[in-house]
Amino acid sequence: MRSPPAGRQGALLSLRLYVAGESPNSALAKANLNAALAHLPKSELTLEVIDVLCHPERGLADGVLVTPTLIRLVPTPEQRVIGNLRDRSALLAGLGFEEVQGE
Amino acid sequence: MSELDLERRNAALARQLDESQQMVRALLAGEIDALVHASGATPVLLHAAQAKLLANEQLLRSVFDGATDAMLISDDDGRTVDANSAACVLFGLSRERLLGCRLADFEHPELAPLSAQLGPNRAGPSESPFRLLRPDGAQRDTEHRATPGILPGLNLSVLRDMTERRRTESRFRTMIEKSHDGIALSDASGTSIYASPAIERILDRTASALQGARVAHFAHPEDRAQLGEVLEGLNANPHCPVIHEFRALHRDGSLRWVEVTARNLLDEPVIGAIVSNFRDITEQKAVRAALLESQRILEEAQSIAHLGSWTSALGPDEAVSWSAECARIFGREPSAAPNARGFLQWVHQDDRARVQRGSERAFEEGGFYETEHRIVRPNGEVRWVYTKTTVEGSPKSGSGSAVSTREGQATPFRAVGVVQDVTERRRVEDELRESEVRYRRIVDNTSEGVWMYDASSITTFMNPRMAEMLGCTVAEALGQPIFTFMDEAAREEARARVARRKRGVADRGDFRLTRRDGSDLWVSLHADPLFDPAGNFESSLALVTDITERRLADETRNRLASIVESSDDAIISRSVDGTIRTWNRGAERLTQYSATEALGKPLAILYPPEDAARLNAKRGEVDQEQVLEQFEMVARRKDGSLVDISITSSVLRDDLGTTIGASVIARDITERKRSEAALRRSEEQFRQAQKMEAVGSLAGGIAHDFNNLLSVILSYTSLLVEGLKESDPLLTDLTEVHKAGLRASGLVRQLLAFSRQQVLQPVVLDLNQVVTGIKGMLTRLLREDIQLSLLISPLAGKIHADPGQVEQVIMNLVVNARDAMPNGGNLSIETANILIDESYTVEHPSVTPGPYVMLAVTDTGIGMDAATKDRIFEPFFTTKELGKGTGLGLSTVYGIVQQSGGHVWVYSELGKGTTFKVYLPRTDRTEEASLGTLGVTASSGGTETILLVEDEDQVRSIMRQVLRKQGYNVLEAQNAGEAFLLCEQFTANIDLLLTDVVMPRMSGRQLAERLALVRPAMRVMYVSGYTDDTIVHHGVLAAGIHFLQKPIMPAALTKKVRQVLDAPLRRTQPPSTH
Repeated sequence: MRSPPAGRQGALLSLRLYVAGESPNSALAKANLNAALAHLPKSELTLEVIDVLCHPERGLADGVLVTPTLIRLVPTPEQRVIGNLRDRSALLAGLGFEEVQGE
Repeated sequence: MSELDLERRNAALARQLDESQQMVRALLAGEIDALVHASGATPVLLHAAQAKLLANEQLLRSVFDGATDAMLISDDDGRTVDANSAACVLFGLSRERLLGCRLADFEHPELAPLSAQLGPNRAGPSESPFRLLRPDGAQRDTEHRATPGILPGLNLSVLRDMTERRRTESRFRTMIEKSHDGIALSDASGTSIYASPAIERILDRTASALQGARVAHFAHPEDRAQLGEVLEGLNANPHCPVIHEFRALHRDGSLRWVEVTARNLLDEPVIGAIVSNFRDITEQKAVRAALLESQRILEEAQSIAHLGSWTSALGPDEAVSWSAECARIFGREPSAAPNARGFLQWVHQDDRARVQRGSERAFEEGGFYETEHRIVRPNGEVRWVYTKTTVEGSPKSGSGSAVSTREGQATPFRAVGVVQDVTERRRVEDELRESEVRYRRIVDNTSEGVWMYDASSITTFMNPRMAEMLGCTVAEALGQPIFTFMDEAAREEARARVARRKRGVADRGDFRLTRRDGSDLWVSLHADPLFDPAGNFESSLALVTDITERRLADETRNRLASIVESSDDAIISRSVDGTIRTWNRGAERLTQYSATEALGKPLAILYPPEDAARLNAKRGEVDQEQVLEQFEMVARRKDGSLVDISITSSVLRDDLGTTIGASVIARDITERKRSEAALRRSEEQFRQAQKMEAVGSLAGGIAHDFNNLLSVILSYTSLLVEGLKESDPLLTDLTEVHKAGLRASGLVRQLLAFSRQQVLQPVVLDLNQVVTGIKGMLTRLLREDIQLSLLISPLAGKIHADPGQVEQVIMNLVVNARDAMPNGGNLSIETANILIDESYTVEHPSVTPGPYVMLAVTDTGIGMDAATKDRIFEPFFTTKELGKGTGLGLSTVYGIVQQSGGHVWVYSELGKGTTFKVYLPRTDRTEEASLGTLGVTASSGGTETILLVEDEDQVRSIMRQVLRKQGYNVLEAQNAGEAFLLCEQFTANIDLLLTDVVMPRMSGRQLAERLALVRPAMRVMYVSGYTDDTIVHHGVLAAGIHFLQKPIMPAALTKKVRQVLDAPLRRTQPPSTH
C-alpha cells in the first residue's frame, strides 16, 4: 500500500468542505461548489469534503460549528463560507475570485 | 502584544464576526444541516437533516448490503457485529457464522499479523493489504481499509477482493514489458525512473544505460534540445499529452525515427510520473511519406480528372471529409465541407427533386446512387457533374445517431461520394451527339451512296441511298461481300483496286456494279482506305454516285458528237445572240475557220456584208420558233470566197424550255448547183434537139411530095424553055416559073439539111482548102465596110464531110455575120485543131470527146441576148425584117454540122459581137473523094435501054419525056412488080435501072437487089426527094451508089444518067443489112 504522493505543488486553490452526510443543504453545498469550480483545472484545485457525521473530530479541529461550512485553506488567509453556497457571488467572493460579468 | 499579533487578533475577530454573521444568515435561511458539538460527540443533526437521515437509513442499509466490497462492522474488541452480503461471499461463510468472529481469525499465517492495526485504534482510518485464509482453505488477497470509530464503539473494515486486481496488475505490467511500444516513466526533472524493455530495442540502449538517464538524451544529439523543450513544456500542462518525433542513433550508426507521446501524470496518485510512450515509426514514417505522396498524387489525379471525393464516417449530418478537387468542383472553400446530405443544396433546382429522391433512398436503404446532374457554384456558374454516393450501414431516417441501431445490422454508417465534373465531357458528348446526328442525317439523306467494307471486303456500313442504287435494302447488304454486287469481270477489277487501296492508294474513277436484278449500275467511285492506329488496313470508305444515266447519256452524246464530228455537213450551234458555241470538222472544211478561230465569234462572220441584214433577220425567225429548212444562202469563207450553202436551223432549248440558241446544219451545195445548172442546160439542149427533130420530121415528111411536085414543075418549064425561041415572049415568064421552082427546091433542101435528112456525100476534106476556095465568093457577099480576115491554122487536120455542105455552112455563117454588122466591122474566119476532153463533155453531154477541127466565125456586130441565143438555131426563127431571111440559115448550119458528127456553139455578148464555133471530127483517113470528080460529059444523050421505076405518074412521065428526048430507050414501071414483069418480058439488054427509092410495097433498093440477081450487068441509079435508111446510113450515101436528089431537073437528070452509063461498071455488093 502506497501513501498518496506528498506535496501538491500545483494546487492554487485548496478547499475543505464540511458537510453532514447527505443532508439536503450539504448535498446542495457540494453541488453548488462543484458547479462554481467546474471551470477550474483539476490540477489547480484541491478539495476535501469532510462528513462531520463520520469525522466529528475534524470539525472540532477546524472549529467548525455548523455544516455546511467551506474553508479556503490556500491561498491564505483562511476564509470561510457558511451555508449551502447557493449565493454564487458570495461564494466566489469568499473564494477570492472576482465575479466575471456576464457569465 | 505586538502590533502584528494585534493585527492577527483583529483579523481573527473580524473573521469570527463574519463567520458568525454568515452562520446566523445561514441558520435563518435554513441552510445549516448540523451543529458540531464542542465535546466531540456526534454532531447534532438539525431537525430537517435528521429527518432526512432517518429517511435515508433504509437506503444506507441497502447500500451496505448491496456494496460489492465486503464490509464488516466490529466492536472495539474486534468482534464482528454486522457483515454485508459481499463479506459472506468473500469469507465463504454465512452472516451468522461471521458474526462474533474477528478479522484476525482469518489472517493468513504467513503474513505479519495486522492485529495491531485493528482494534480500538483511534489513529483514524488505515489501509493495508490483507491476505484472507478462508475456512475452506481458499486464499484471497484483499485490500483492507479500516475505519475505526465510525460510530462510537464501532469500527468498519472494508475488504476489497484484490485477487483479480492483482492479477490484472501483473497482466498490465507484463503487457507493458512485452509491448512493442516502449514506455518510460520519468520524474519532474526529466530523469528516467523506469524504462520498459521495448525501449532498449527502440533506442538500441542497454537497460542500465537507460536507468537514470535523462529522457531527452534518448534522442540523437541533434534532436536532444528540441525533445528537451517538449518535455519541459509538460510540467506546465499536466495531463496534456504531447506528441513529438525525434531521431534515435543506433549503435550500428543507423538512424531510426521515434515517436514519443508524453503526458504529465505527476499528480496522478497512482502514477505520479511523466509517462512517455516510445514507438519506432521509421517504417510508419516511410509508409506515411509514401501515403502522403500517393495522396498528393491522388489529389493531382483528381484535379486532372476533375474527380472529387468525399467520405463521411460520422453520420449523414456531420461534415464530410472531402478532397480539394471536390471542393473546387463545387466552387467552395475546402474548409466549408457540407454534411453528406448537404450537397443537395447545391444541386441545380431543376435536378434537385430527382437527385433528392435518389440519394434519400440510398441513405435510407443503403447501397449506392449515381446520376448526372447540374450544380450551381456560388458565382452562379452551372456545371454538370457525375455523382455516385455509396452508403453503408444506413441510419434510421432523421436519426442523429452515428451508428446504425437497426436490428440485425451492426455495420457502422459510412458514406462515400465521388463527384466528377463532366461539364466538358457532356459538352463534347452533346457536340458529338449533335455532330453524330448531323452526320447521320447527312449520310442518310445524301444523294451519294456511302459504302464501307472491311479488309475482307465485307460490307460493314451502307446508307439507304447506296442500297437503293443496288436495288436492295441496307439490312440485306450488311455482311455481304462487295463482290455480291459485281459480275466476274468487275470482281477481277475490284480485287485489283482493293489490293491497291491496301497500299494506301485512294481510288477515283468509274466502276460498273451489278444491281440485285442483274442490271448494270455505273457509278463514279471515290474510295479511300482507312487504317487503324497501328497502320493496318482496316476498311474502305467509298462514296458512290450513280452515273448510269449520265453514262448512257454520255454514250449517246459521244455517239452524236462523233456523228456530228464526222459529218461532211457543217454542224454548228449558236447562242441566242448569235455567238458560235460548237463547230465541227465539217464547219472547218466548209468555212476554212478552225474551231479555235470560230468559237465565241458571232455567226455573222459567215455572212457576206451585203446579205447580213437579211440573214440576221432569218436568224431571228429561228429564235422565234421557226424552223428553217433547206434555206439556201451564200456564205463567206475565211479567205473571202463565197460558197453556196443550204441551211437547216432549229431552235435549241435547255431542260427548262428556255431558248438557248439554235443548231445550224449547213451543206455545201456548190456542186449541186453546178450539176443543176448543167442539167438545166442539157435539158435545154435536149429540148432544143427534140424541137429540131420534130421540125425535121415534119420537113422530111413533106419534102418527098414537095420534091415530086417540084420535079414536075421544073422539068416541064425546062422542056418548055428549050422549045421556045429566044424571042418568044413566053420565055421570060417560063424562066420566072423555073426560078421560083428552083427557090422552092432550095428551101426544101435546106429543110432537109437542118433536119439532117438530106443525103450527104462526105469525103476527106481539108477545111483550110474549102475556106480558101470560097474566099472569093465570100468577098462578093460582104459589103465594103466589113473587113474579112482569115486566121488559118496550117496544122488544122482533115475532116470527113460533104464539101458542098461545108461550103453551105461557111456561107450561111458569113451571111449571118454580115447581117449582124449593119454598120460594118471585122469578120474573121479561123481554123484550128481542138482536143475536146472529158471535162468539156460534162457540160456538153452531147459531145463525144476526141480530136476536132474548129471553124470559128467571129463578128464584131450587135451580138445577142440570152433569149435570142437560145433560139438561134430554131428553124424559121429570125431577127431580120420580114422577107429578108428565111430563118433557115443557122438551122441549116446546125443540121449539117450535126449530120456530120460535129457541134456548133455560139458565144455572144450584146454590143460586142458573136462567135460561132463549129467543131467537126478530125479524121486520119487520107482517102480522096470516092466518087472523084465526075467527068464532064460532052453529050448528055444516048441510046441505051433504061428501066424507069417511079410510082408518081407525073414524075415518071416527065422523066420518060426527058430521057426519050435524049434518045434513050425507056421502059416504064409504076412499081417493083411491074419492073419484075418487064425484066422477064423484055429479053434484050437493060443498061440502067433508074428507080425511085421510096415506093409502096417494095423500095427501090430492094428492087435493085432482086434485079441484080437476074441482070447483073444492069447499072443502078436512084432518085429520091427524101431519104430513109434504104440507100443511106445516117444520111450518108453508101459508097458506089449513084443517086440523084429530087426535084428532077432535065439537065441534071440527063447529065447524071450519062455519067452513070459512062462510069465503069462496079460490081458492088449491097450492104449486107436489110
